[in-house]
Formats: sequence, structure tokens, C-alpha cells
Amino acid sequence: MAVIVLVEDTPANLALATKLLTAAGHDVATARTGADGVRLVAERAPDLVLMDLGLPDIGGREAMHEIRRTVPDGPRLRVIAFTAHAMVGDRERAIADGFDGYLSKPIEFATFVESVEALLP
Amino acid sequence: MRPLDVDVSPAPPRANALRPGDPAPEPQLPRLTRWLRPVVDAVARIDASVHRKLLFGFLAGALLLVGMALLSLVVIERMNGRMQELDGLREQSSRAQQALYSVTAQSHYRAMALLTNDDEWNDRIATAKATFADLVISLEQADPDEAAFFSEVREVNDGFNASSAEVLALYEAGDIPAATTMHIDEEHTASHVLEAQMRTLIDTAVEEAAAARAAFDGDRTLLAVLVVVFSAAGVAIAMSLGFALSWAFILPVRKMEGALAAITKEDFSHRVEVPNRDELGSLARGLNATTDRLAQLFDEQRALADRLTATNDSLARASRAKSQFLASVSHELRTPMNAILGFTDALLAGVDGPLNDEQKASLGWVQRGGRDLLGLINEILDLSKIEAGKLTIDPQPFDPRELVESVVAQHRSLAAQKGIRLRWEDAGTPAEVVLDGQRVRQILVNLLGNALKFTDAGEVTAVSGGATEGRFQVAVRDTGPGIAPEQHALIFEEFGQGGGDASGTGLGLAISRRLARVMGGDVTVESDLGQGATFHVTLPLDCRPLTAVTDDPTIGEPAAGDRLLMSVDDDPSVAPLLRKMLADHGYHVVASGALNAVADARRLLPQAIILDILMPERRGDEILAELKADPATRAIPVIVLSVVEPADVPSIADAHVGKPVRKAALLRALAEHGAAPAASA
Repeated sequence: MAVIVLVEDTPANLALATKLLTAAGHDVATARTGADGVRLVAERAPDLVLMDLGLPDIGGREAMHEIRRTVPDGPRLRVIAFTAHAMVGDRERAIADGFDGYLSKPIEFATFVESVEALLP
Repeated sequence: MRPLDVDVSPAPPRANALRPGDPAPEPQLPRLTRWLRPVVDAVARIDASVHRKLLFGFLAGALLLVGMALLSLVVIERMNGRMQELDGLREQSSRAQQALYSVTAQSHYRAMALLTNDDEWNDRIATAKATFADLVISLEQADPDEAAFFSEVREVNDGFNASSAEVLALYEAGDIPAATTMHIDEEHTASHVLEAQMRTLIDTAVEEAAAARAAFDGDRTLLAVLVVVFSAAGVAIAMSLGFALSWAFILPVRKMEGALAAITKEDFSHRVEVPNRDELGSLARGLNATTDRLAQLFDEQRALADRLTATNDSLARASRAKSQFLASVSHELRTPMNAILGFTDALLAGVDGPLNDEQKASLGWVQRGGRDLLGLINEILDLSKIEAGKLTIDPQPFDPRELVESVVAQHRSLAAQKGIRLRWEDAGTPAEVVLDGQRVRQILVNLLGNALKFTDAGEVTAVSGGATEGRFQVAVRDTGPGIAPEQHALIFEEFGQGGGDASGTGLGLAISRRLARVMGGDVTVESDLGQGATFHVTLPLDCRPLTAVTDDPTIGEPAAGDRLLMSVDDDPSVAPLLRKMLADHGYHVVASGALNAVADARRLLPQAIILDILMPERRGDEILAELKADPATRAIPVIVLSVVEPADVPSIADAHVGKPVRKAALLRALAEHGAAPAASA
């Protein structure tokens, strides 16, 4: 069982991901904006953060940097880019930006939980 | 894939060698004869037909010759007269000489008669007197003007004859001394007078002969002078006439020639102004009128072409806008579809608790409908990306056998469900290709999916191969209902699904063919009703464009403003050769292979394509036909560079240049087809 913070603004995706991860026995905390996400991470000290890149307020990249800068254990937290931009080179760019991994949308029922668990420390 | 930094912006307006408004080069007389220009213009201005002018010229020459001949005849005739006169004078002189002799002889005979008493001498005297009388008559006849002189001669002669008769009478009487005295006193004296008269005649004839001789010599000199003067004048007049006449025709012809040359360069600004008032003048006026009409037609045609281009541009923009709209709409549609499918999957998996069979069946329908819809959305997205030119190909090396095997394996359960035998045959598959594996997979999934979908019994076979032909090909063969030949073109169009009763989006084949073509290959079909169908995928071994040559460090980079030319040749030395040959002429040559040519042309839109015909991987005429059938590449001029006979060059080619390539011929072909650089070096 792992503590996972999910920052995602699309309600359907948020609900589905939460449902699938909870059903797999994980403790999922959710936020719908970057700022809430940063706060939640500081509160819960999760094992994994799934960060949507297209957030409405500060954006996934800024939120990730914010976590690294302000949360006490920030630099060592696993923050994963969670995005629909399934383009060649996106993975490399996300890693270069400072993310610890990359998970592409859409959420596939058969593989999603497995993919997230593979990213756990 | 290495980006190529070249200017592929639309061609600027072509630069004519003669810009409109340039003064036409004025045709000139040969250098040394410029001063004759007024004469030439005057001849041109004469209001008579060319026929009359030429006739006049020839007649004038002929008349000159005739005049010269007549004059010579007159002079010769005069010389003839002088000659006859001279002959007459000689004869007169000779007769006078004889007359002198016959007088002198008489004195001699008289002396002999008186000395010898022989009568024979008297007979001789009589004969001499008769001869003298005859000679005087003929002398007078030849010179009737001197009648007075001759009557004097006759008088003296009569006296002489009378004294001769007296001497003879005395002689016959035997009085020789009296006869001798008579002879000395009278007869001999009279003979002296006659002799003097004859001498005068001789002297006169000699003098006159000398005068006639001098006149003859004078005539001869005159004749020579006349001939020389007339010849010189005749030649001069004939030459000037000929010169003026011919240049009066040549100058306007040259002017018109210049104007016509300008017209062929689309410069209609030149007017042919000639002084001629003959056929050439009216020809020039006709030419000017024709030029005006041509200019008008040309402008109208250009305006039409511009409008057509503008319409084409707006159509292309509209088509791109449509594709972009479809791309963004389908992207937006995917997010909710994914949610629908995700939750359906979760429910079916019992995440929210167990479901009864009815609920499972209903959700199953939701799931299938959702998957079909998502598939359709994805295909529309792909197609839109291809049409909007946003599809990127990511060529990576992979083993195509693994790919074919995995796609076949992926379809095994579906084949098993339908009771169809699914086989894979490896007929010489290349060990490695450099292609976009995801896209190749997409094509094969589509073809195998179709084959299984449309086949109800029998088998589906995928045959991969092509290594020996230098390409990667897969044939997907089914035992389905087959496709009528007239449907073959239709099934590759969007929503052009054959039959129309089977489920599916009808986009799969359109996408597969486009994907294959973007990688420089193609998808084709071979089928007939009731015969099953075979779909052939043909792909190059390497779809990375512009491989060998662009990395050759001995060849310079394109200069700013260079026109891009694409060379398609199986001989790897051709492209570097062309590049070196054309580098100084504002062209940059890149190389493409036979299998990539169409895809590269579509991507690079070069100014012109230089295409070989005889290539082992794919024949140039096939490439040409595909280039000319594709709206994106149709307008690119294709210059065939090949050893084939001109008759074997496809007529849709824009130009043909033989091998070995000559620079001048190639530059000319490029210029003729609007691919000339803006500023040629």
C-alpha cells in the first residue's frame, strides 16, 4: 500500500484514476489545481505524485518545481508527469524538466495500475 | 532525419532576358556601309510591291548590260568603216603606183624602139597606154571628188598620146632622128608631167591612209575606255541597287525577327516600326496587331491563371483548415471517450462490486460501441494529421520479422473465433529496416483486421519478403468475397469501403496507403469478385530521406536563396555531380532514392526534380506518374535525365536531357520550366 497524491483537473480522469488505484489498495489523495497539489504533498508526504501537465493555475511543471523547492523532503519525492501529449520526445523532455518519470494518458484499465506501481520507489 | 535548411518558398516571378520596355536591339547595316542607310530607307519608302522593286532592280541591271553591248557594237562598226577606208586608200595608192610605172615604162620602151628599130616596143607602148587609161578610170571612180584633177590628168595624157602618135609617125617614115628629137622635146616632157601627177596621187593616198590609221587607233582607245567605264559604272549601279533593295527587305525582316524573339520570351512591348511601304510594311503592321492581340490574350490568360492559383490556394487553405479542425475536434472527443471506456472497463471488472449477467451484457455493448467510436476518432485524427502535413515519421531500425510475427500473433484469437486459419510466411524478409515501426504496425494491423473482418471461411496469409529486391514488402491474402476491379481505386478513398454492408470506418485503407506513401512506399490491391483479395504493402528499407549525399563534406552547404533541386538516380555519383555542376548557378541539389522520391518530393517541394528512368528499385516512369497524379507534387517540373531514347521518355515529363548530362542542356531545361534562379550567377 502506498500513499499517492494525484493532481489532475479533468474530473473524469481524476475519478477513474482514484477508483482504480483505491481498488488496488492504495491511499489516494487528490487535488485539482497545482497550488492545492503542492499543499497536499506537503501535508501527506506521499510515496508518489502523479502531476498532470495541463493544470489550470500554475501548470504541472511549476507545481513540480514548487514541490521541490518548498516541501521539506521535496527534492527526493517521486513526481511523475501525467499527460495526454503522447508525442515522441515528451518523455525525455519531462525527465529533463526534473520529473522522475512519465505516464501517458488515456488511462487504460488493463495497464494503468500496473504502470503506476512500476513507478513506486 | 536531418533537417535541411533550404528555401522552398514559391518561385518569384520569372525574370525574362528581355524585360518589357527594353528597347529592341535595332538591326544595323554592315559596318562599312552605314552611310548608305538613307538610300536603303528611301528604297524601303518607295510605294511599290516587293515584286515590282525586285523586277525593277533586275531590269535595270539587264538594261545596263544591253546599253553597254549596243554602244560597243556602234564603236566596233565605226572601226570597221575605218578599216575599209584604209583598205581603199591602200588600193588607190597601189593603182597610182601602177599608173606611174606604166608612164615611166612608155619612155623606156620609146627609147628602146628608137635604138633597136624593133616594132615590138611600139606594141608594148600601146599596151602601157591602154593600161594607164584603165587605171586612170578606176582611180577616178574610187575618188570621184577629184574629178577636176583627173580631167587635168586626161588632158595631159591626151597631149602625151598626141606627141606619141607624132613620134610613131616619124618612126614609121624612117626618120629616126626627127622622131628622136620629137620624143625628147615633147613626148618625154609630157610624160614627166603625168609622172608628177601620179606621184601627187600616191602622196595624197599615203597621207590619207596615215590619217585613217590614226582615227582607227583613236576609236580603239575610245572603245577600251567605254568598256571599262561602262563596266565599272554597271557594276557599281548593280551593286548599289542590289544592296539597297536587299537591305530594304533584310532590315524589316530582322526587326520582326527580334520582335518575335521577344514575344517568345513573353515580352509583348515591342513595336516593329519600318519605313517600308511594301509587303514588309504591311507584314510589320500585321505583326504589331498580332502582338497586341497576343499581349491581350496573354494578360487574360495570366489573370485567369492567377485567379486559378488564388482559388487553389484558398481551397488548399480551406482543406488544411478542415483537417486542423478535424484534428482538434477528434482530440477533444478522445478525452471523454477515454473516460467512458475507462469507467466501463472498471465496472465490468467489478471494481464497484459484482454485476449480474444482464448488467454485464449491457455494459459490453457500451464498451464495444465506445471502442468503435474511439477507433474512428483515432483514424480521423490520423487522417487529419496526414492531410494537414503534421504527421511526423520517426524512422528507427527494427527487425521487421518480429513486427510481422507480433501483428499476426495479435490477431490469432480473432481468427480462431471466426474459424479462419491465419498463417505467416517468411519469403525472404529483410533482417533490418529503418522505418517508423508504429506506423508499419498500424498498416499491418489494418490490413490483417480487414482480411479477417471480410473473410468468413478459409484462410488469411501474410507473406513478408522483398529482401532480394532491396525493399520490405508484405502481402496479406484472404479468401474473402474479393473486390471488383472497378472498386479498387474507391476503397483507398476516405469512407470508400467496398460493399458498404460491413462494419468499419472505411478510413483504414486510406490511412494505410497514406502512411505507406509518407514513408516512400505504397499499398496496392490485387483482387476480383469471388477470388479473394491480396493487399501489398511495399516499403523502402530505409525511409530516412537524403541519406548519402547531404553528409558528403566535400560538397558545400546550400547558399542563401539557392533553389532546391531533387535528383533521383540509382547511380550515387549523379547527385554530387549535379550539385557541383549547378552550385554556381543558384541551385542546391539533394539526392533521393527511387523508393523515397515521391515522399521526399511531397515533403521538400523542390523547384524541379531530375529523374532517372532505369532504376532497379523502382522505375522512373512509375515515380513520374505518381508525382503527376498527386496534387501536392503535380506542378513540380520533372526533367528526365536518362539514357533512354527520347521516344521512350514518358510524355508527362516536362523535359528530357540525355546522359551523359551536359550542363548547358540541363540549365536550359531548368530555365524553360520556370525553375531558373531569381538571380543567376
